[in-house]
Amino acid sequence: MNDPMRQILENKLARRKELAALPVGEKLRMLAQMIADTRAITASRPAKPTNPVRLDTPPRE
Amino acid sequence: METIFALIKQMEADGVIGRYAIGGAIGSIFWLEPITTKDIDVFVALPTTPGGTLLTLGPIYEYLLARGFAPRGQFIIIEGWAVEFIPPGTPLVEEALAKAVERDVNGVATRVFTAEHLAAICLQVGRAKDHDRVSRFVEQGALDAKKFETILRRHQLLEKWREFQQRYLQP
Repeated sequence: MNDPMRQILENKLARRKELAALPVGEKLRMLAQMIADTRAITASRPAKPTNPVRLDTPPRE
Repeated sequence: METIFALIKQMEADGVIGRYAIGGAIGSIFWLEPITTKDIDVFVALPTTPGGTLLTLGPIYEYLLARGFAPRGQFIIIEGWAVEFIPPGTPLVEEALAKAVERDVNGVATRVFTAEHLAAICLQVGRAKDHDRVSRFVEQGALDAKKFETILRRHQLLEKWREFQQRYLQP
């Protein structure tokens, strides 16, 4: 393993330890927020791609 | 989530469930960083019916459905969380339930498996996500090595632990 990779892993572990040291209530609030954010991503569908062959027709809803 | 902890505590006070403790991913969050999960595993000792030895989750469902909560599969949805009530299925989980510790979450008292028992259960179950969780417990220094080893010895998990160390913890 090279040094930059080792540094990334060390930073990741240090961040995990920081998060683990937070009060439980705060950690559970963060989890609830993560889940809500994930649901929001799932709920927002991207627009349908335009069909270049049928550019003269209005896009379908 | 505090509302759920308060509700479970009330269920214990009302005699619907016996001793309970939070396990699974939510239990781990008490000792580790937040881990993504959508369900709450509540391990419960079930009161036996008078004159019978059959354990049933029926009274739990009746209690919660009467309070307007909806079932979904083996879960009950409370405050948007899928809550599962699980009777202990192994001597290790029985011990984890007996030795669970009290914790305060924003003024609400609840009971949770110790870090050592959670890690031992993960080691015993042995899925990829369980191994990942054991690694986190180890890396973050969340385990009391002596307590952990005692539990592993008592439940014949030392060999699994050696294999785990060789596979995941060797540099």
